[in-house]
Amino acid sequence: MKPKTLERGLFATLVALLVLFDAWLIFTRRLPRGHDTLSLSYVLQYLFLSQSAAGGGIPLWLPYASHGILTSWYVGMGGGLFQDALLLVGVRPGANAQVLFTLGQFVEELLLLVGTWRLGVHFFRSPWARFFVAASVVGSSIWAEQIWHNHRAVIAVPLALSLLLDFLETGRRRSLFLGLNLLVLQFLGNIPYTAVLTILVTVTFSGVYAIVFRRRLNWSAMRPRPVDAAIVLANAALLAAIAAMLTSGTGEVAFRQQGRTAEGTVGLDQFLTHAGGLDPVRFVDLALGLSPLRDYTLYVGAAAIPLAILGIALRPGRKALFLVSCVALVLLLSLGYLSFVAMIAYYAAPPLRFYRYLCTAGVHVRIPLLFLAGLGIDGLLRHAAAGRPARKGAAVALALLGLGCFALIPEIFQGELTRLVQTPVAMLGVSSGFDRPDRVAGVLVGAGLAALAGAGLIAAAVRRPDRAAAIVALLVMVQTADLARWRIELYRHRTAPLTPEQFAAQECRPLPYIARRSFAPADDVRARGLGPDFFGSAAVYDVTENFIPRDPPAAAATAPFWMSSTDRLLQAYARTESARPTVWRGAPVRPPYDKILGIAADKLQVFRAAHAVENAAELMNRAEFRGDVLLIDGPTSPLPSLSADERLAVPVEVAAFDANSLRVRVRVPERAWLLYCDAWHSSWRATVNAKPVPVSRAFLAYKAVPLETGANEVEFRIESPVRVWTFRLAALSALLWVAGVLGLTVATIFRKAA
Amino acid sequence: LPRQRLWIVLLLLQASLTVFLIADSRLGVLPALELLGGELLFGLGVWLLARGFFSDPRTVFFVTAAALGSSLGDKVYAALPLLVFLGRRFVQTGSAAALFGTLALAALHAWAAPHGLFFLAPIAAAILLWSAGHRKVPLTRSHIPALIGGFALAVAVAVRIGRGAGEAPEPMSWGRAFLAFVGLDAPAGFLDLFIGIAPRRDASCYVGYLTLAFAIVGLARLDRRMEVRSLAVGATLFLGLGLLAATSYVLLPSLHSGRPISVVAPLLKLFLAFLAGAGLENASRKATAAVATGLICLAIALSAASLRLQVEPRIPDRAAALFAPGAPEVLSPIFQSSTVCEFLDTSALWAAVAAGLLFLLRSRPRAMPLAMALLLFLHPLDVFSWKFRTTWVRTAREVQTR
Repeated sequence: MKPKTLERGLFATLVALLVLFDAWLIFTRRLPRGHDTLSLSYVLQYLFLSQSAAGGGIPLWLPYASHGILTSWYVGMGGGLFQDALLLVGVRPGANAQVLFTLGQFVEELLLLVGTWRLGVHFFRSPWARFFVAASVVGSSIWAEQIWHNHRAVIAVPLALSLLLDFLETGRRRSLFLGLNLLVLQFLGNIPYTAVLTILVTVTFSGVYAIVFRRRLNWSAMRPRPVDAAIVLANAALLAAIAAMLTSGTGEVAFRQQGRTAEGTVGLDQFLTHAGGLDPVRFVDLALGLSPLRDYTLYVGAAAIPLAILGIALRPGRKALFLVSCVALVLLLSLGYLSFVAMIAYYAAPPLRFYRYLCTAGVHVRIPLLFLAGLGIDGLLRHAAAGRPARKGAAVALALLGLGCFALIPEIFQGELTRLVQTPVAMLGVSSGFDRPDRVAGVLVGAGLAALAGAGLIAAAVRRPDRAAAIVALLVMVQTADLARWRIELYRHRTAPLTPEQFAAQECRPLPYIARRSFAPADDVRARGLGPDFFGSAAVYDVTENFIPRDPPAAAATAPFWMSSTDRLLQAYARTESARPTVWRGAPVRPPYDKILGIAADKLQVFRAAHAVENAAELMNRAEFRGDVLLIDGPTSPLPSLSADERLAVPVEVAAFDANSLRVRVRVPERAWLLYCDAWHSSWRATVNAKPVPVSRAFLAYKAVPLETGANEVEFRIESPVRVWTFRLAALSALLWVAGVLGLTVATIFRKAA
Repeated sequence: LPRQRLWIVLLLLQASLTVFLIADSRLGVLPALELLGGELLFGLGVWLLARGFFSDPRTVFFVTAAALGSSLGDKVYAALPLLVFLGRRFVQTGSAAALFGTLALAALHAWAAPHGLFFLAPIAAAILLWSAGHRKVPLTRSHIPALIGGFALAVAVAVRIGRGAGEAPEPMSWGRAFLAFVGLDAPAGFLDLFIGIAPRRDASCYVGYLTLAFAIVGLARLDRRMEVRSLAVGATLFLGLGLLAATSYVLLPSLHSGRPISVVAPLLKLFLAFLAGAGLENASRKATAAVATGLICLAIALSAASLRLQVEPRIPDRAAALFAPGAPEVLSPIFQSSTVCEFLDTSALWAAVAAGLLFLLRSRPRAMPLAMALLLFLHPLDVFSWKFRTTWVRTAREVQTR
């Protein structure tokens, strides 16, 4: 077979494998069991798509999380290239979020695949080596319950790196522009600090490459040109737009997270040690596939490490030096306080001050390590008779690994291993299912068989160097099958199939209006069906309430932040400056706050008048205050008795509702005020009978508007042109990248010349 | 690689430790700069001295990185390498400037050395110079100003030391003092050479696994005469300085105020660093393979020890007693189960990396450039990582209060 045909065939095989895998996820209707993938990434995606499907554009507000919060930071965390592209072109009503989520994952995997394949051109001549590396990188970069640290953190690294290396070698500006652009877009679909680490890792790898291959680089072509200013400015503008999209309006957010400052940064000690799990023994997972944690895995296939060592021995050149240096730097970074790399990085790269899960940085070891293993494959093919001791060593190491896996199985059933790996690790949750000996044994048997098969094949390569090509092909197949086995096993354990009823509930539907806050579970298929199976353990966040949907006074889950208006109400209720919304959880909310919070009364309340006061917190805590006098912020005016009842018992009809707006109809016999117990923010606007009215801050936290005598049609709407237009700009870039990735995939399969 | 660039790398690494200490409010600006000054004095001395021993700049870099990276600001010997360098210079060239520099540095060092252990570095320097066996330089009239200057400084130092006499006595018997000063009151402390956890507050023997490996390779490569001579010098330093320190302790009450530090650990590290340089320049395939195998076994043993600790968390208490029997106050704060495990596993990782590099070094000539490049990259990472983490564990962030 011609090398070009072989190359295209191998690439097409990988695409087909990905299609098969994602088709399996769609047709078996699988959804990750809880934790960040489900309770933030998926839930946010559902909410964004639903709002778009209902024709409301992007949601700027989430009404059922801590009494209403901005979506600013969540636009980045919940999105992703595919989702943002979809939001730009519009989502069909009734589209199924589970299918779209899986398709988004497929596109991201294609990005990783295309990037790895292109990057392989810089390192390998043999298509088999490229296939090996691409299959291993794509196969290992996934983890059902934690999509950010394992998947989204790495998907762009190979392509961005290949573009930057292309620029370094040829001086091609297009590559520089695209590389920087892809890095900037890492803030879509990621936690901002994960994106920072991704960018840092890619830039560091490029820097190491420039140092190691300094003589190969085209320095003259890299001399500054006028077009460089345009490249930098264009990407800086996109970065600024994304920053505005993520942070606009967040000046009115209350953020109190242990270990973080009000700005969200962490001190050096937190940076170096937060979440623990720094012990390098965790890198055993590279060869065993036995991550005891929910948040990340390092598995790269049983044969990868011996092949990487073989790569160093058989191809001891600058490529090996570059890759080993990258592995060492990332590995040491992930050791936190145990090495100085993290300490220097903290001061050398100030954006890293937002990062505090250093142990998870270990996932970036995978790409350079697998490229080293690719050198091993290349070495086996190109130096068929060389390095016999190294080959023998690799075969023996793999055989020992395989036998070791089988030897561990009795220990697992006696509970020894499980006890060992479940030593307390602060913050990082222990993986679900790791206490199931059968599952652990299944993983070990798979890894052991793959290791033994790999050992046999490398031993065969020692004895029959003339059959190197066939043996390498088999070795590559074993590695691919091993990772496919591991991935399917992982998804079988860490996802659960939806029932047809649950699957139907994933269709993008408009957000319903909930009239009153309550702790009672919502009578909805998502609440009934998904609750215990999917949200029963690990991290759950307050935004999930919008998905279920229900509107409790305090989320049963983590509230990362809330609006500063809500915070004032919290402080008044708790009589302390450090209260969190959890004070409203559990015990009944005391009167008159039960009415004010929309628990004992509906969230839409009508009052005869509103009274401007400067000391609302103090008045609301007086014994005579019963919550029946509407207090709004402003210079103090004459007050009636605080025990008076100024409520008007008139019906309020909700005419329309979505995340960004509420339209109601209310008829009042005299001039009155409408209170909407949803957090106040300066971006909210209101009209009464199509006339703009100011939105007052009532009871410290909520929104209130004056009504006219007679019929009123009131519309509350959150407006933020900055956020909308910056999102559109970012989404346009995402759309172009999705098209580009699909185009590159097709071109790689069908092109005739390199 | 140009020699200057290699020196700049070390300077940057050392300076970044100072920046870290100041920026994270772990040390005031002046104490941190003082520490930096002492370390740079030490590093510069090692660098200059190593240039006299080794022709290859990479070896000079390797030796200096080992010595500087494993030093925890040991003031007692900060000036020793530069003293030896200047002394050698004087002996070789008869330079009056070198003579004045030697005497002035000895006096200034005595001024700064803690607890009156001012005499140790000059005496150690004298022993090392004697062992170097260079020709004697007759004193001439040109040396007189240098001698007078050095004498004046020595008088000033004597006055200063005399004023510090008679501080809080904490007497020990002469024998116990001797054992304490040479580190034999808790000989398990020398195991730190192999485990790298720095169990005591007052001194550590860790020099990096590559230093240790090449020191063993170096010892195996020396001829019999050199071997005996090196060991004799080592033993003289070990016993002679301990003897002097213990005698001074008994005679000088000013020494009682401080904790008897381990006198030999910094010297041992310096000695090993230079021996490793010799090993690096003369590595034999056979010795390298044997040492690499030993390192693999060591890595396995360290991992096994860490696993054992995970299962039996009470072991650190017992191990701690080994490192500082009867003196828990000198134990490093790392003696908490999880931290010890992390340290042990990190040491195991570095031992395995060192073994891998040694195997690569002996594999085939084609792999030599890669092995050397990785050696120069990974060795400072190992020793300076140890230095940073040990410093991080032993310092606390000062809480800013109004």
